[in-house]
Amino acid sequence: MHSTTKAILLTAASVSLTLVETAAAGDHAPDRRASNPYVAGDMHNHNTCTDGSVSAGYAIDRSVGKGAADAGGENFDLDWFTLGNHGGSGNRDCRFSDTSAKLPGDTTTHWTDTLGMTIDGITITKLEGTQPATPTNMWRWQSVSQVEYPIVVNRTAQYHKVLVEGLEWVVPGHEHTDVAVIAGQHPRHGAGNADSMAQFEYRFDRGDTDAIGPVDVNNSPLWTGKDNVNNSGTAGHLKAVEGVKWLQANFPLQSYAIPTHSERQGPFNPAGSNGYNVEHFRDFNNAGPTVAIGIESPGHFAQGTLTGGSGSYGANAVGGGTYGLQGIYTAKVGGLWDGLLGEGRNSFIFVSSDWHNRGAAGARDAFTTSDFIPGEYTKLYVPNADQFQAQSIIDGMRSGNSYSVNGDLIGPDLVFHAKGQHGDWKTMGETLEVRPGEKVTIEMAMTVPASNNSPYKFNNPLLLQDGIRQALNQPLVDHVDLIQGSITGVIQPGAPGYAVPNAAGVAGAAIVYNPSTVIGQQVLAKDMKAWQQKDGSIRLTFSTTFIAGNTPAYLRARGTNVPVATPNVTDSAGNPLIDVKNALVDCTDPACPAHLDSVNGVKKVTYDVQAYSNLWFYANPIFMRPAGSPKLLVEKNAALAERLAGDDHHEHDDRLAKN
Amino acid sequence: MAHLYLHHRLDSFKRCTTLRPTRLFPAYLALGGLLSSVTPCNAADVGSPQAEPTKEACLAAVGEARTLAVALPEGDASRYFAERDLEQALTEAGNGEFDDCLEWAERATVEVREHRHTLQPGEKLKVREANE
Repeated sequence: MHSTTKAILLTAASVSLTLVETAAAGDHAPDRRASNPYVAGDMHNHNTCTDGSVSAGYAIDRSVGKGAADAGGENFDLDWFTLGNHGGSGNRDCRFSDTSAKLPGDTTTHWTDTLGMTIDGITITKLEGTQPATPTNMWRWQSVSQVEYPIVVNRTAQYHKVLVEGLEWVVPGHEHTDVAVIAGQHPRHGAGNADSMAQFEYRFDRGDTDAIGPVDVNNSPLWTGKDNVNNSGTAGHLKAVEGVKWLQANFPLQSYAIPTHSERQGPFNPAGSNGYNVEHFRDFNNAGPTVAIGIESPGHFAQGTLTGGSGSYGANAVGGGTYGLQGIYTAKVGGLWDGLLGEGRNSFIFVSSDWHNRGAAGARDAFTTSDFIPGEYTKLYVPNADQFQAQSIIDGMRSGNSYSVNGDLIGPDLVFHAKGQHGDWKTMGETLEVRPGEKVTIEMAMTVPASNNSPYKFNNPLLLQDGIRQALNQPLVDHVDLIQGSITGVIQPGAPGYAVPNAAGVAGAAIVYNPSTVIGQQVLAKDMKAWQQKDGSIRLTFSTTFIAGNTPAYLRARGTNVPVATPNVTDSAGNPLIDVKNALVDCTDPACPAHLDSVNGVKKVTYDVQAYSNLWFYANPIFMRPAGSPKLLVEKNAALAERLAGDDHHEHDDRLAKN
Repeated sequence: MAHLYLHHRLDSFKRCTTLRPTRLFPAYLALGGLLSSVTPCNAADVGSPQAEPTKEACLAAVGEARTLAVALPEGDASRYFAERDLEQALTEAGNGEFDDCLEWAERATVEVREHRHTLQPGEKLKVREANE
């Protein structure tokens, strides 16, 4: 079958769902591979240095430790962990958990209680920087470098995993952005420092209004030239762009800046500090082509109530809430993310926990009405490496070869790649060159784990509406969407379409940024090849084909446990509906937990039950263009990173052998 | 517009107890020549100045919500939920995040006003205390 249109690269072709039998995707023995091709991590989480509920050490322990925690609760065995706590300041000593966490021996402790004491090998004698007559708060640049980083060093030695000191940047003119600067961090060697990370926080965080920073022996500030004025609105945005430029100029391969829960505070407000419009993502990527590389969807997955709140999104968020536990920018086919991909930008999706606390529960309890501990519910997968290190995390994220999974719907061995009739397979983040009319083969393979971390074994109440009996702790993939869109080229700043009107609430969900984007194919799991493996997991594979057109395009994938047209969950095409509708569904199993919101005594699908009922994974795009056509921006920026790596200005951080 | 037809080659899917019926799935791919429907935006036209939330506003909101919460009997589930929300509100205040403080205080207020949690006879929240 040949193309019926000349305007797009991918056009209709056969969708023969054949067995995946190539060496690349079909070499999976019936059992799990000994060494996973991807490793799971989390880059956005909090502790009592800012507004989290547990100590920095405890958060790491639960996230990367194995088995049961000493004081109770399960550990979640992540392969890597980036501590991504807010900028600004905090009044609590994050060597202690909060009383509200209900941990034995820990009570809320403030910096003013512990000055001069040596605790966990760390001694803080002074709250530094600009302070009132009676100081109470520690600026985050100080806690990043003097408290959190030493704890990262200690835990690295304890767990032999890759730990990074990062930041949730409180962005001038906007809400938040995940940042890490790994330069100088050498926790594996018990040494190094997070001073570059701290300096970024000091210079560019709008919550950090300290005017002094660290000083030398003569009490002269070390980090001079801070803009402490332009922290809001349009001027704030310009300062934020300067922050991204600073990362690009100084740490082009050793840092990232990823706006997070970017719909939550509504559209950008030129006179306040609210959300992001598409032009702000474009500004960031233009300023930091190897640094500002995508979007992080919201965490706070268990906050869904009768009136919404999942993802911590209220009615005034762009979209008015979450959709399949994603923000509308990434959940909508043809939405903001597709607008960026339609330019051929290197814009990739990442998801993390945004762990703060468990709401009504203590840190050791099985249930949560707020957040999940890193690794418990969401996992960000980046490629494994022979000697996995902090640089590998950033390299993997920048490459686009990564994917994000909620509720362990799939495991660490996704295959998603494409190939023309000649040449090599290209995977997520890469670009396939093909001739117009050429057959393009897509292969996917994924493992559905035998179970996830849900404490609930009763049947998924959302799926019961479809007559499906599926335990919450044993989710199955229902289908995979292959989503395709056209690439029409980079829009220059100031050109039509560069800036796009945005809207708060559900009106924001109607905005189309790339109208060419569609669900090109929807593949039901029952139509895939399936193996049940010895550990109870299921390996699913399929392949399909498209015919290449003569203009560039991209193909991305998402999967879910929820069938098409499930009432209050998905529409007739399989797109996620706004998640507040989930709460219209009753939870009637006798095991439905006591903490769920109820109406007239009837429990509803809310909180963690909602999160475990409505599961999705997202895979980053594969790009395609006609052979010989100009390179896409994603390729140019990847080439820029390669050139910079060739210059080898960046340090090679702590190397850690796979375990 | 081209239609694609699935040629099924099925294998048993062992943990599925219910399989949806097989059906043909058309893929709609007539996308040529479509242009973005979006229009330029002058950022200055959007939004209006907002006062940054203050510590005083946060503490006032927490106080009001606490008054509502303590009017419920001790042991009431909604009171417990509201008090947990207020703990988080004060945590946010300690971090200087007064907008988040206001959001948690509002959440506590809604919890109490709508009395969203009622334990059934014999039911209890499985919260492990620090001394347990």
